[in-house]
Amino acid sequence: MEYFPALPEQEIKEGQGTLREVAGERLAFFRVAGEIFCIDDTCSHAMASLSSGRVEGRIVTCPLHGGQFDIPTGKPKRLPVTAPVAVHPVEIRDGQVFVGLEEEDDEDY
Amino acid sequence: MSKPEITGVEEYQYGFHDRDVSVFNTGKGLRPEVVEAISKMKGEPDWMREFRLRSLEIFLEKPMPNFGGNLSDLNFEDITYYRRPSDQKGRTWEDVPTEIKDTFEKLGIPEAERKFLAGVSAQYDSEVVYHNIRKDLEDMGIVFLDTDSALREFPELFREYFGTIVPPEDNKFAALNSAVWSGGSFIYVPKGVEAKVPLQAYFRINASQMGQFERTLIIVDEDAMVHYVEGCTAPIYSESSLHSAVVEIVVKKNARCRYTTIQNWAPNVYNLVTKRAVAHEHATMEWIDGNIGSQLTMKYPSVYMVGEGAHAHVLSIAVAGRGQHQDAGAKAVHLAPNTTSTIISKSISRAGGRTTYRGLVHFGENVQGSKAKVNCDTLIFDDGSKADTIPVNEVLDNRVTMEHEATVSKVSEEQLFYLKSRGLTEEEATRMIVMGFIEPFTKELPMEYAVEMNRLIKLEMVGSVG
Repeated sequence: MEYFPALPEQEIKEGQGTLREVAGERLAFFRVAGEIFCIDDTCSHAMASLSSGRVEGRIVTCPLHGGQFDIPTGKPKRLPVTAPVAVHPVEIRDGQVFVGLEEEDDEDY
Repeated sequence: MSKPEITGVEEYQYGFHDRDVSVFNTGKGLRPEVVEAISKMKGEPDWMREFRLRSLEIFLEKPMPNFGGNLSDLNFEDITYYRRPSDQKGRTWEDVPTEIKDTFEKLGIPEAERKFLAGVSAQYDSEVVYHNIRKDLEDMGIVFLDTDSALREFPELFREYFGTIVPPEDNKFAALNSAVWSGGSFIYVPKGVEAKVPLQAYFRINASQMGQFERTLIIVDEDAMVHYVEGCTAPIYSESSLHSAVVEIVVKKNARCRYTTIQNWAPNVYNLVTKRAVAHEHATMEWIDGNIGSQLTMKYPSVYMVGEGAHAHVLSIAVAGRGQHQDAGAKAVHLAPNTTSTIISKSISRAGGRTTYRGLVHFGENVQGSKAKVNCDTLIFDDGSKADTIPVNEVLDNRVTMEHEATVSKVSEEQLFYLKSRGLTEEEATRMIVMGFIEPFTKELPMEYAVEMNRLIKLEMVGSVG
């Protein structure tokens, strides 16, 4: 796993998502009860952007069809989403958020 | 046979004899004030008012669907979104179009039912039967109310499930319904209770007609069973051109639910419905869906199988005549191991009508041992009539079985010849072939509906030959 710089910590507000593209991945950052979380921005249902969804507590609602995810775990919480989204670990270093991303596994075909 | 022409609907709207002085009607168009007024009229808690207002915002933001039928003539500003039922009671039997009355006659609909279906009576007038059924249900602990009353009388249960199966963001018409819903059924069946008789829509207290924006919520607790029947085969006279309902169903562990609909809206109606059920471990959900009326129906009853061993069964028929488009289908979403689904779709298009089967079978990851079977059969009577089949199959786990079969046919010359050689007229022979075609559907209906259904199909087939 490698950590990449993403954005200044203070740009992440409670109650709304922030979108950043990091190392080619579209990621959504949230602040829930003071803690920073990072999940894949692309909804597992129909590819909408989760960073523009409504946030209530630890739940984000996808704006396209209303499915919900639990931000800290990425787990689906309400239909029509049924599959989880990936959660990525974050570290704060000197006010900057770093996100850990797995290297893509090259599959031999 | 040409469909009953509903002329002068607008005249009836204004020509009603108004017996109630204090009528309330939000007027045409949809604005936050309209939604506020609806919520206030109903005396709803704040959370529901806020839910409606947020749903209105979602409705206004969402684009129209980019699939399905032609919605270009649908004018949201030309619709009245709420009328208090007292408006509707002003209607008299004399105001009901002759064609509707004639069809009731031909179908043998009893007098009391005719008045209800025509909107003359707000309630099925068979007091004794109605009262006895209600008592039986209450004794078993079954809750069967209209949705408005359920929100008042069972607020926690209501709030726990409402909007969780079909959230307002799901699609534009779910958002619309979420903003202006009124009426519909609420059913709760306690653990282990089996409702022996089908619960029918017009047996509810304060049955408020076949509303424009009905919202139905059914919760079947563990090991329980219920069969709910919505609507009936008679043409449903409606002055409103848009009917957009939402039905949410939860079937818990080992429980069973069957939901039967026979939709026969008048031919000026857009019927745009979202119906979705969740089936838990070893639960069974069955949709029996008949689509005969309306100008355009878009409806895809769905089952999300979230528990191991859950089962979904959708049996759908669609009959489209002149000027009609039935865009119907089903969705079976497998999300747990050893779940099974069957979808049987039978479509008939004639006299220039159009039917579309639009379906989805989805197998998620980790659903080993699951099976799905889809059968779509269409019967096209004549040139100019159309049938399309648009199945989508998504398989994310290769330890499953997926079967799909489709047939398209005209009424078989050979079968016709054989039947005519046995002394039937061509019309009788055609009717027999059609009845055989839809037999898998009619045999699932409660007896009285099957009888009405058979009569209705026969009526539809009159004059269809030649």
